[in-house]
Amino acid sequence: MTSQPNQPHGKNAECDNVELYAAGALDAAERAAFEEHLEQCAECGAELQELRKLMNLLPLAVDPVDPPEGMKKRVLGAVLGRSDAQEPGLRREAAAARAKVDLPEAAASGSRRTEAGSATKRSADAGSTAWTSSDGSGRRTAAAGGRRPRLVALLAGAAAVMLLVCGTLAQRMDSLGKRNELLSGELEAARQNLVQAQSELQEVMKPSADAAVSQIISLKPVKNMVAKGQAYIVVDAKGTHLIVQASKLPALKDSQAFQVWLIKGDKPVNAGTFKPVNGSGAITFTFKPDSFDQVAITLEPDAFGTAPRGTMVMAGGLKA
Amino acid sequence: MSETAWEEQLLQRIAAKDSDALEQLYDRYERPVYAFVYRIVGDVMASEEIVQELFFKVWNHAESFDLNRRTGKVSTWMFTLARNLSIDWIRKRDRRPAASGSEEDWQGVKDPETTEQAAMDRLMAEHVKEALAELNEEQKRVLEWVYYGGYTQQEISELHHIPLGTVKSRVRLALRQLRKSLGEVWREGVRS
Repeated sequence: MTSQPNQPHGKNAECDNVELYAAGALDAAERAAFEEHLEQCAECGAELQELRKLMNLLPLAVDPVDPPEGMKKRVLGAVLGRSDAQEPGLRREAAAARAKVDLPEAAASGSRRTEAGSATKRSADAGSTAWTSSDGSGRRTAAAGGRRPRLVALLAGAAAVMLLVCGTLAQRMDSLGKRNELLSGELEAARQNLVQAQSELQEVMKPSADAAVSQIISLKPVKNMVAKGQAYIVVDAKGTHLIVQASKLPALKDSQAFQVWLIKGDKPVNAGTFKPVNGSGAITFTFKPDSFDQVAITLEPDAFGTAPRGTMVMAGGLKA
Repeated sequence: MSETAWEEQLLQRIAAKDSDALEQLYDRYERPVYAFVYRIVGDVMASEEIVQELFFKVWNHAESFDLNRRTGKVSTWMFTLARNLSIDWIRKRDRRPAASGSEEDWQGVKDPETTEQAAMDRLMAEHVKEALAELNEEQKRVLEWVYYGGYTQQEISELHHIPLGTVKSRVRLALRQLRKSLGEVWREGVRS
């Protein structure tokens, strides 16, 4: 814990933190500051004693929960079987691989898993047992003569190594199995999303029923333009749609495009871009029923703008 | 021998690598510690992992308890370790920076030895539940966030858009209210 000397808090401010400290609501820096204060404030020290007694009562009030079956064997097996030097990461992985016992399919393999776990954990024991027995048999076979004791010892050693490998593999399998379960869960979720998206899409693809034109707007070209155009506002069960069609539009150069805007006040909303064929083009746009003042078509340098950059070609006013 | 003295003796034996003693301590704490860890992390697999980590620490660091046994109680040590491991786990899961207290947090609690500790614990559990139930909703929530969620006052203030001063005062009031509710029983228990 880092100590933070010369905290700006006065004594009283720190005294106010005694409850927060006892409850664990301070961050590292605040804790350090309070602990420094604690060394000089007997009152806070006494208060903290009392509060800690209080906090220590809270775990008692937790609702009882049954631990997973076989937890004792797994926990003690792991704790007593593993050496102090073992990496925490390895321990975590091993614990994770062993721990999933609450699922029905895992329950059946619980004992197997424990054995597999113990095989690794007790690999040292297994090794020494193997060596001991080989020594025994060694002595017996020595009487029979020949090089068999060494061979037996070698085989026993190999067996111990195999046990270790098997144990590790079993654990790895467990951890892969768990990963697999996780992934199939995700796959299932994705599948459900897809089903939902498909049904939404179907809904969208259904032909309109009961569509009504709420406005027909004739678009007027700006000066020097001969273009003609009309806009419709159509309302159906799926929403409000803008349909714009225009003809006698000027020819486009390079990547130029026409862009349709719905405008409220001075805020244009992009309603889509189009490139006409033989001077004629059309577009539809579905939007939330919102009132706009104007629909306009501009000539833009490309089809990808989100705000008007080019020149106005034609426009028409909407009814409120 | 009192429960407390018995547990301390177990820890001394554990420090001397007596695995029977570890098993006895395990049997004594399996259920309460598991329930407590599960209350915080809410995940069966993680809870077992944390219980294992806890007993790994007990097995390998029992002597650190022994050094301080005059100022602590085994149950306090166990639950503090359990809470720290659990809070670390949920903070890691939520990608919050680690912030739980050090393992030394439990130190400095002078709890006199009492007989029939377990029976008293059960009785006390009922009182504590009642006292917690008496807190108002705001106090319950803030205690939940701090104690079981491992959130700092600053995080609570930011996450729930509550002024820092209000968070402070709610924690303070919650603890005062608990103390008040538990006042008599608690003192009786402590003095016995």
